[in-house]
Amino acid sequence: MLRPRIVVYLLTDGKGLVKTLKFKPDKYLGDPLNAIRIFNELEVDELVLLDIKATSEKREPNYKLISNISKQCRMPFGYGGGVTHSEQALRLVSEGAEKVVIGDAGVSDPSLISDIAKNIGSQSTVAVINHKKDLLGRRIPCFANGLKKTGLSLVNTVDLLQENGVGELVFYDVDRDGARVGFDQKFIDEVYAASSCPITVVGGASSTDDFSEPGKKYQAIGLGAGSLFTLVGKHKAPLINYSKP
Amino acid sequence: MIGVIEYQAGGNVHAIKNALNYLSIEYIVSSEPDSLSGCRKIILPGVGAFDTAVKSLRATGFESFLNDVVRNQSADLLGICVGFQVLANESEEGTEKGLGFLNTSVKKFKSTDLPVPHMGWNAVKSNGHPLFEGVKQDVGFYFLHGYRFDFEYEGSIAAATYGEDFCCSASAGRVFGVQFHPEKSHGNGLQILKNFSEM
Repeated sequence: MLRPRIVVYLLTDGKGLVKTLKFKPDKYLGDPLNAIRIFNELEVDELVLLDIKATSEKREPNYKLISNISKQCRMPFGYGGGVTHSEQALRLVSEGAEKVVIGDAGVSDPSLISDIAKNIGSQSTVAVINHKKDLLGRRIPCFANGLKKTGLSLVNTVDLLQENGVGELVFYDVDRDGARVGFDQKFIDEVYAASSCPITVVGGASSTDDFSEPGKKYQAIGLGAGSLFTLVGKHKAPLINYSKP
Repeated sequence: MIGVIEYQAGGNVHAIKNALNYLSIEYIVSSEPDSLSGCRKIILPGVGAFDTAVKSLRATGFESFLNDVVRNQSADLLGICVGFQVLANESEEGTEKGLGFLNTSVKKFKSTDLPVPHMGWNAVKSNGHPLFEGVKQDVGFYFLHGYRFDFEYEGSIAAATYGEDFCCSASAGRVFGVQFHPEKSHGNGLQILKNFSEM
């Protein structure tokens, strides 16, 4: 039977790897290529690199970096950040990325998801829904690195993206990002039930123990972590590491 | 020399090249059938839809190339993912006829409870075929597909389970195929490619 995918989520600001805390830059981690080389040697299940500044700085994906990264990866590799057209998605796949991750652009205009899926296939088209709790404690999708509400409910967003042919949904918890407080199991139950395609939840993992409960319950699920696999200890010293439940 | 077919649905030829480079196995990648005519081993990668893949193979001349190779038994052929599925007679995913080297049909997963497609790392159980020599079966491989070969297919040489048992690798004569992605499955994947190159 399928095992839960334990996915490494890495963030870059265009210059180097960074780690965020609740979506605000927190630590600089160094060269992405070196880190990814090590993760490949650690035989991680899957790795995703997100350029969190590409949209605001209006930058194209760094195709050269992606090509170099894909040469290092003998596991699936996904890239996201600033993808707004299917031409970029086609180029990313031709440079070796297995998956193209679309964020704000896909949530604001789900037809982009459909367009990209038609070009590179649903299986390679991933939408990330950043979400946080509103004042009434409800989970709502948000834009612009966690700052603005999208205006739609989480379930509506999921339905819209699935109708447009998305192949995987990633739920990125803005509140738990970098905070190491564990996953919200009730939230995982809700989004797993609402989705017919594979899902991945990211944000909050504090140890591999956090992967056990959702992993055992669902198996066909992705559990992502960034800070857990790149920083260790109370003082958050950078150290590339990886382990599975 | 291994010949790697580059065609529209080829998907991650990069990754296959990287794996073969790592194994120091000589290869040639080409989108022209003539360039691969001397190869004794051929890899047919594939990502995406069945019909797109078949039409692309037909349009590039690779369908007739492969028909000749299989009829003359002039090379070992390894199909990967959709490249494995197009070797069958047909698929429920599309309306095109497959190449028909593997006498069976590709079908949708029966279960409606589990997420579609089957995506992630899954264990395999092989019947001892040399293609799987040295493979850590419990670790398995990375899969990404929505349609599959029947568990009962007589050419099956390995099976996996996702809601139901299904055939994840098969062979008929010098034709082989794997449903998973060896180029994305770390050490086990390298082992499959190495075994194929040495068979």
